[in-house]
This record gives sequence, structure tokens and C-alpha cells, in this order.
Amino acid sequence: MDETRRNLIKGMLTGGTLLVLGIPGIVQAASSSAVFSGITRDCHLLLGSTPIGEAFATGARAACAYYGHGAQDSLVTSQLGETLLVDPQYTANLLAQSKNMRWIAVMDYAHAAIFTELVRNANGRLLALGSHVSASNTDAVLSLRHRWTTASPAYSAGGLLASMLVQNERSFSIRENFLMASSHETRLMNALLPQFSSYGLANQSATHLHCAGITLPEASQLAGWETSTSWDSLATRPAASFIEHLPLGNWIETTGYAVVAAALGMGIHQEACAQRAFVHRPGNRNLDHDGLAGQQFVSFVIDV
Amino acid sequence: MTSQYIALPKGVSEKNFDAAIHDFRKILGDAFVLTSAEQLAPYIKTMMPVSDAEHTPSAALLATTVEQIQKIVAVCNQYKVPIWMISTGKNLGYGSAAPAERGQVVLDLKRMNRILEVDKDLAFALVEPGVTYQQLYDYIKEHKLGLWLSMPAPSAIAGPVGNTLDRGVGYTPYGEHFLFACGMEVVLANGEVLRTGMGSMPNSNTWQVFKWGYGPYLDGIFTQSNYGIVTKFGFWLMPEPPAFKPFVIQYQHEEDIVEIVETIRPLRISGVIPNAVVIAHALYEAPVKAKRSDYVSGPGSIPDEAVYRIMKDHKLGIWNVYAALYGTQEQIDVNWKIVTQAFGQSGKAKILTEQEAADDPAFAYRAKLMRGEMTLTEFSLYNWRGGGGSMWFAPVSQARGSETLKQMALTKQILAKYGLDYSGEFIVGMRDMHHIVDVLYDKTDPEQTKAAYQCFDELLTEFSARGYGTYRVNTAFMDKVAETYGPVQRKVHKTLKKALDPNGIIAPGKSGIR
Repeated sequence: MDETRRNLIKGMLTGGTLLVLGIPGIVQAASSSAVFSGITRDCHLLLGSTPIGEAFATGARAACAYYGHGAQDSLVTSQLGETLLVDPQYTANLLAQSKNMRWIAVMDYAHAAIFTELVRNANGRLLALGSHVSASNTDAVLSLRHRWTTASPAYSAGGLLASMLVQNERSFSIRENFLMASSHETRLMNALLPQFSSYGLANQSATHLHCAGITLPEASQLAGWETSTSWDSLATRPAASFIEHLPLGNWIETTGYAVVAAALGMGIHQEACAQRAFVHRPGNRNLDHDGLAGQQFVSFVIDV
Repeated sequence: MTSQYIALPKGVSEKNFDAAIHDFRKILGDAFVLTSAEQLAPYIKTMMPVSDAEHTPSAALLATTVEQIQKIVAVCNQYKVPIWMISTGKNLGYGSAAPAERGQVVLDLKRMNRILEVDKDLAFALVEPGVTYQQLYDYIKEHKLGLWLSMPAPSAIAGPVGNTLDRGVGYTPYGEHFLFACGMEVVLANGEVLRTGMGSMPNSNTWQVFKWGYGPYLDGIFTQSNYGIVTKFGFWLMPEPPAFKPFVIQYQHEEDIVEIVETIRPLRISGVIPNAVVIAHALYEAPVKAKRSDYVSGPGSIPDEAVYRIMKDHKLGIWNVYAALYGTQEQIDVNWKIVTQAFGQSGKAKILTEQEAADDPAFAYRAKLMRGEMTLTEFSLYNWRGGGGSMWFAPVSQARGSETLKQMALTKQILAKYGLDYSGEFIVGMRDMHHIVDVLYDKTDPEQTKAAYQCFDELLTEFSARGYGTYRVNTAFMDKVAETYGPVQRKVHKTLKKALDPNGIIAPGKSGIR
């Protein structure tokens, strides 16, 4: 086992133990996993045109304060506003002048369509691209949907987000597609969340589905697979798990927290797989949107 | 054993692909052969209702010279590795930068971005594929050349080569872009370099001024095709007119579209209105001013009652006709009289000049596009429903009023069946009319994604059954559209492909050609 990997797992397990004792152990895990992920870049937050920018930033700053170390415990924030539509060259220059930077960006779909193009033009490395939607109609089966395309499980935010949303009795689905299923994450199978029942796609172990409060066929369908998809139970269960208890106000802040924690390389609740989903429906069908029904945005984590 | 690549080309072993990548690196250098997931992720977002995995590239190559491309095709032939070319890769809603098939290697030509020549007197440009409209616009301004560009809605970030090769359009009198193309340089699959038209003749200086050359005209076979890699491209530019008068004409009833088209056609064919006339439905314009969720929250397509509220709240017609007059002030004055008389006859039209509509953001961006200026405002469409899903449905018909209502009714009926909105416009080219519909859906919703796929499939089926051919389509539906044009055309396309690219290395699947 490579040394950084060993440190990470040690950190996580110890963190879980400390949590049981009522001591937030995440800081220790954080420093280990940061080493593992080789995060030596400056992280900056880029707020594009979207009304949810400040809420996302609140969660992002909380994650930075919690997991960050040294210069990273505060997050430099830049406001893009409408400039992408009016003057895309401004953002293109911003990316072109970046050196060894990790950008966490959030914006609406119009701006995101342009930003994606600018990232490619700048030879940027896209670590994670998230699409986050709160249903605007009250009869939606699930109130929140998160979809990520992520370079590898090392940049996955879905597990951490699921662990936080499930505590709030939130109904949600999270689907993550990993372009490269990193082999060095195989030992993270024990990072599964205890609140969820976990399954692997029959004859294709690289696809995982975790569901709670919902039947397996329905969860499968809501995550985007057919109801008839055949799943095998994943027997492995965690001995201990991180549980975040942070005073975050709403799902957007929570998403900002999870995205930035992943961007900082915290490596929480990750699995070695090609794709996975979390689907949760609480018993009381709580559809509280925190007054944020209909809100939607796109998140990026990129290296330039 | 886990592959070190995120995808492999169909039928190519990892060992052979390794060897090809090794050779590509020798040609381009390590930094310009991209294989990691993080580097390739920006090439994958497609907006189509299919898994992005179906369009995941195995690598991307950033070439800068014709010689490099010649060497790349030699490697591709050796290992049977397919490549997918992009110039700037902004084919948004048609597949973006992603390849048609999983595992194809993207040949990204963005670094070939030299403006080779802009001739002020003869009003033409010769550029490489990576040149953007913004780049050319800045060049023309900097050198005070007094020339205008014609560009599609993604303007600044897109480029003339990719747009024209996919037979895209713009909004000035030079808006039918391929009509104004003049001369190409093409790297063929065997590595030979062809210059079309007069470009084949040594010492000729007419490559960018006379399109036809001698013998069969070849430029057309390099558009919407996979017969070669265009590395230089000539096209004509519009001299800046002394005066320009954009206007919008609003109508309040959907059935007025018949009268609108009947009024426009003679004005277009006679040249009174020299640019393609856009007839935008209220829902196409609404995203510039409003959000869908401000008006509806439940499932299903937006009801007419909500559309009328949007029109009222945001001073939109149900149809909003955008056009412009170009020329000297005297010419414009004469033509303006003809236009206002023609549209004013029925008493249904509300004609607004630039002065009267100056504060309207929808008018402002349309006016910019009609004068060849940069604006990305039309991207607001992606915020209408959100969720990142978009496909352009683009059937073509005769420019007759009688072709409009039945098309619109059929489109709305099919969209409503799947709970989607009609974000549509008609564009009167000259004798033809494009019906452009952005099929917008929420890609985070698996049910809606599935519905969007079925909806688009049904639109193609029903329209083609009625003789409406699609002029351009996203990469997920290219085979289906190719099929609608009949077996003989497909056979000819394949025959050409086999002759020019026997190993099938250049963009297999483009326009359904393999």
C-alpha cells in the first residue's frame, strides 16, 4: 500500500473513532487526504450569474474553514456576474492568467454552456461538473436532483453530500459518473453510508446504487436506470462513518460545502466504481425546499 | 486489468492504441496529446438525451500545422484509429465537441488559429480552423477594414470554419454561410493536400474570388461530411454598409404566421430585405426576459394562458419578426416604405424601429447579430427550463405561409405529448424556410431525458414522413436523419467515403456516413 493511501485510511478510521467520542476528527483526515490528493494549488471560488451564488459560497467557506489548512482556510472569491454573456474574453483571460489554480465555479445553465467551452479553450482540467436542480413543482417524487460527471472517484462529492442531506430528512437523488474508475480507491469500499442499503449492478460491479426509504426498483428508475435492472446487495458495511453536523442553512449551502470539501481533496465517502447513485426518500415525504424551489445551477471544479 | 484510457476506439486493442498514442506524441509532443480523464472531460458535455459515455473520446490531439495532420492521418491509417475533427468545437445543441462515437480521437484544431489574409478591396478572408469570430472581428476593427462578419448566435466563441462546414447560418445578408465560402484546403485521408477550386492551380491568385475552378465543384462534399480535414478556408465578407436599419414587427395571434411569411417572401426574393428574416415565437424570446418557473411549476408543457401572460408582462408578440435594411440612407428610405406598406396592409402588425425598441433586450441582441456584432444573449434559452438538455430540431420547407401552421401544430402536439415547450422560430432564407426548435429539457431528470429522446425521434419520424427534411442534426440522430434522405443518397455517400477514406479513419458516423 502506498504511504499516502495508508495515511488517508488511517486518518479516516481514526476520524470515525474520534467522532464517536464526540470529537470532530475530520481535520486529521483532511490533512492526510490532502497529501494524498496532492492539493498544492490555490483554490478560488468563482461566482457566475446565479441567485444562489452567495448561499453556495457560504457552504464553500464553511468547508474551507473546516478542512482547510494554512492559506486554504479562507476562500478567495471572484464575482463574474453577467460578464460571461457580455464579455467572455474577460473570463477567458482570467483562466489564461491562472497558474496552478483550482477553480470552484458556480453559475446558471446559460453561463455554464459558455464556461465549459472556455475551460476547454484554456486547456483546463475538468475534475467535476455538477448539475443541481430543486424541483419547482410540489408533486415531484424527489425534491432535489444532483448529477455529476467527475474525472475519477477521487473528486467525488456525492457521498459527502448524501451523508449531509439524509440527516435533514431531505428527499434527493445523486448520480455520479466517473470517467476513470481509479484503482487506488478500492480500499474505500468501507466508506459506504450506514443509512443506505447498497447494491451493485449484477455482472457489472462498477455500478453502485445506495437507497433509503424507497424500493430498489423505484430508486433504480429515479437514478436513471431501468426498474428491471438487476442488482446484487453489497454486503460490506462501515464500522464507523463520518457524520457532519454543521449549521448549514439550506441545500445550496450544503452542496457548496460538499463540492469544496471534495475539491480540497478530503476524500470522504468515496468508492471505486464507474458510476453510482444515492436515492433517498424520507418517510414523511418532506418537500421543504427552504424557500428555494425551482433553483438550479451548475458547479465546476477545474484546474488551470 | 484496468485500462489507462477512459475509452478505446471501436475495434482497436489497447496495445495498438498505446502504439498510436506513442506516435502521436512523437508528432505533437506530450503536452498536446491529451489522454487523462481531467483533460478529456471538457470535450464530453453534449446536451443530448443519451449517455455521455456513448460520446466519450479516447484522446484529444492539438495540432498546429498541416504537416502534423498529414502525419496524424498516417498513424490513424496504420492503427485504424478514428479521429473526430473540431475547429472550435462550439456545435452546441448538435453534439458540441464530443465525437459521434465512443472512443474516437478528437482532433482539436483550435491552435490552428492564424488569420492568413483579409483583403479589404475584394472583401474576403482566408483563415485556419481555430480562428474565432471574435478574433476575426477584432482583427477587422484593429485594421479598420470596414468589413462585416456574419455569425451564428454563439458568435464570439464560435468560428467561421466549423460553422460553415456544418452549414450553419447567420443573420446578415451574408447569413447563408456556405453560399459565401470560396476555396478550401483539405488534408485527405491518404495524407495528400487538396486545394479546391482555383487553389489547385499553381500561381493563381483567384482562390478566394472564384468558387468554381474547373471540373466538378468539390467544396460541397467537405461540408457535413467526413471526406477530409479542412485546414484552410476562404470566405467572403460584407462591406460595411453606409446605413443600417434593424426593426421588429410584432403580431398577437399564432395564425398570423401565414400572413407574415406571405408578406416576407416577395421582399426576400426581390432583395428588398437582404437578410434572413427571423420570426420568433414568444417562447423563443421569453428566456431573455423571464424564467419559466415564474409562470409555471407543474409537469407538462407550458399552457397558452401562461404564454399570453408572458407576452403581456414583457411586451412580446406571439410572433416577433426581426429583419433589417442595409445600404445607403436613400436606399433604406425607399425600401422602408415598401416594407411598412407591405406589413401595414392588414392592420395586424406592430412595427417598431430601433429607436422604439432600443430598451428591449431581445431586440438589442437580434440587432447586434444582424449587424455582425458579438452577443451571447441567446444562451439564455438554456435557463428557460434548466437542467442542461438541448437539441435543435431543424426541418426545412418552402417559404410559404401554408407551410407554417401545420408544422407548428404538429411540433407543439408532439412536444406536449412529452411535456416539453415549443421554443421555436421560423427563418425565411429566400425561397426556403427553416423551422428551428430548441428542444429544451432537464437532463437531471431521467424521465424527462427519456421523454426528450422519444420526442425528438418522433419529431424526425413525423416530419420526414411529410417530406420535411432536417438540414442539420445532433450526433445522436445522424443515422436516423441520413436514412430519411433515402438509400441512393446514402449509397453515394458511402461510395465516396470508401474511395477517399478506405480505412474509415475520418469521423466515422458523421452525417451517418461510415
